[in-house]
Amino acid sequence: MLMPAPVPPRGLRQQIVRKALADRRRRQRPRFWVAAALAASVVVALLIARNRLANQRPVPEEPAVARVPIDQSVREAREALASIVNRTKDEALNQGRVLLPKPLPDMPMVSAGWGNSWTGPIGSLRETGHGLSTTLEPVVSSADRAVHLFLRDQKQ
Amino acid sequence: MKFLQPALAIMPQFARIRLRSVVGILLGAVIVAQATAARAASPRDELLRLVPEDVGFCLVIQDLRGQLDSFLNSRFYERFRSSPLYRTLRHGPDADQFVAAQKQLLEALHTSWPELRDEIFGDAVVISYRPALGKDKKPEQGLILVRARKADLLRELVNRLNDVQANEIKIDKRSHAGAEYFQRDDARGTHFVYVRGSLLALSPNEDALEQLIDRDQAAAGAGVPPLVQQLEKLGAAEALATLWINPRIFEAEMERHAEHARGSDAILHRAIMTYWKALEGIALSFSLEPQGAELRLTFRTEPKRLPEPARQFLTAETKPSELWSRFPENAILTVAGRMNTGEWNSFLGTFMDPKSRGDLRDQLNRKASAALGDNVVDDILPFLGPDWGFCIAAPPGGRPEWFPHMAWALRVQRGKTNPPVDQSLVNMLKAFAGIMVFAYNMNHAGDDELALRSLKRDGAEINYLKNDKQFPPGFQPAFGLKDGYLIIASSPQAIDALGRAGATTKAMPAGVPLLRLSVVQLSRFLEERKDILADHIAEKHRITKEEASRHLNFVREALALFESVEFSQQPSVDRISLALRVRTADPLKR
Repeated sequence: MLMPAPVPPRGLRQQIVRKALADRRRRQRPRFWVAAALAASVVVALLIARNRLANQRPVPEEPAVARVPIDQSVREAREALASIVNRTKDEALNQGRVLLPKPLPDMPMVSAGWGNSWTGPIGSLRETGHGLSTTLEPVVSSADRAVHLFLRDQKQ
Repeated sequence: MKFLQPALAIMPQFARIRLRSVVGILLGAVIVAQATAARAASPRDELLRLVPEDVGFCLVIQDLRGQLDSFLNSRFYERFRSSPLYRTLRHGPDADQFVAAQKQLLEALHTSWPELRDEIFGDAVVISYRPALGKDKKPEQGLILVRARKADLLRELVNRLNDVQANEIKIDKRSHAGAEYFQRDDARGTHFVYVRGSLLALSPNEDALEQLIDRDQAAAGAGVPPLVQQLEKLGAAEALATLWINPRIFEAEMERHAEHARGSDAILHRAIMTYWKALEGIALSFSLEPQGAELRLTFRTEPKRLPEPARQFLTAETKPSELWSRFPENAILTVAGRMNTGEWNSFLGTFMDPKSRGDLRDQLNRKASAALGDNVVDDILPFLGPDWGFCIAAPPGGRPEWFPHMAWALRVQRGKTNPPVDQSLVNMLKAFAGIMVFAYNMNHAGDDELALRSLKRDGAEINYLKNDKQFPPGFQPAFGLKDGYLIIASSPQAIDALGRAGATTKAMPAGVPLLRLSVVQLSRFLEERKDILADHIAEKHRITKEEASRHLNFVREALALFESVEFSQQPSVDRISLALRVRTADPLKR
């Protein structure tokens, strides 16, 4: 025996349509806020960018750049730096020098100049340092020239 | 199909191996590609590609941004800012002048030091110089190259500089090979400037700049620049700053100098030239490391070009002196090495002609014969060394003797003579000490007399000089033999402090150590004896004790920043490296 066909309650169709529309509105609400937030961000970003561009635009009339002699500033900075380094070095050395022990009393054998009596080949060995510096002179003088060239302090 | 079964059985294994190989090859290829890309992208390499090969000097500074950032955020820098050294640096009219000049400069350019440091100079800076030497006498050339991180900012800064100096300089636009550059003239000279993207090139020579433009246009896709290869071979490729010296460029001029020398000078010059020609490159590099800073001088040689004695001397197996394990644990300063007198003799002989060598030998024998016998060169010298060293250590606390223990030690063998070599040397020192005492006491009397005394230690005789009036507390110069070493020391106690081999287990500097200054031990010594030292300083310099204490405090506070200073040799087949390393108490890098 067959069951009787189910009969939908009255107004079901309207109820479904109403609920579907409500659900759609509910789901669309966040999207709206997201879209609104994005739009606001874009507007804010555009405003910031506009302000920045306006600030960056060159304004020739404004005498903002002081005509400072750059070379003079560089020279002063260089001299000041050299002075700072020398002063700090002197200060540190002077403070440390007090720690050095008192010189020993004159010892006859030490001060007799015993080493000076070595002449001839040993003397020439002593002169090896001098010979080395003579042979290396092109290297040393080139280094000196290079420093002067880059510091624009031409040495003729 | 049965015959296929074994093959089928190993197929999965074979496939796995194949797959592994393929993956391995692919990974390798990716790594190589990345390495190549990284190399190609290195700002330093980009600049070094533009440096001509005939430069004499080349200074390379790289990664200033990263290194300085790490340094400025380190614990060391934080501590340094509260040290007296920093206060000295920052206070003074010159410091104010520096700040004012720097501010004026930066304001004029609308920039800041961090921006300049990070965006303009932060990647790489190269300065090269070619001297006007040699037969062709090419004019000297200098180049400054900068590889900025922000090309726009670089261009903007150059324009601003020109704008700010508009009244002081004259600018002419010029071009070469389709590239534009400009000439700047001012009261002090002319230089030429080329800007392309992130590259800034400056030179006082127009030729140099035009050649650079040619190299710049031809450089794309070239291999590893020769200068980078040189730095890699010298082990200086990663340093923060490296000065590279090209020995070849100076060779002709040095030869010319050598040609003018006569007699023994000529032999000396020729010997020096032989060594110079064997040099492939020299690098002086500076690196910041987490534990400290290192300054390293490296010579790269071609051993085949060296004279045989020099090759043996320079490439001989080098190892730390045994004295590193004998000097006391609390040593403030230790200097120790090994010297084979035979090899030294042959090496020094290369600087002399046979006649001079013979004369030197005769003179040595004649001078020392009274004390050491007739044939010092053959009977004594071969039995000296190889270990030698010097040490300064704090004396034990709780005593009035504050003078540091000092000891100089030389390994001496007994040799074949009678008396033995070690005893002959002690006898010689004893004779000298006796003469010294006699001569001193001729002019001094009473409690100012000098006395030569002796005592026994483990059966060995220790001789020492005594003068309580003139010598500071703890100073009694002494000498004697101990464990195969001839020792000259500041007192008999300093000789006692020298331990047996392996007695000390302190951390050794890397490579072959030659010198170590322990700042920690020095600070401890100053701290433990600050009162005695303040009294001594006040008396010596005729100042108040408070003033002397202030001096001491300054030194102690400055020393507290550091742990040690080490000097060592890093031997290798074709390189001789000497490294000076300053270790800091706190990490030098973030």
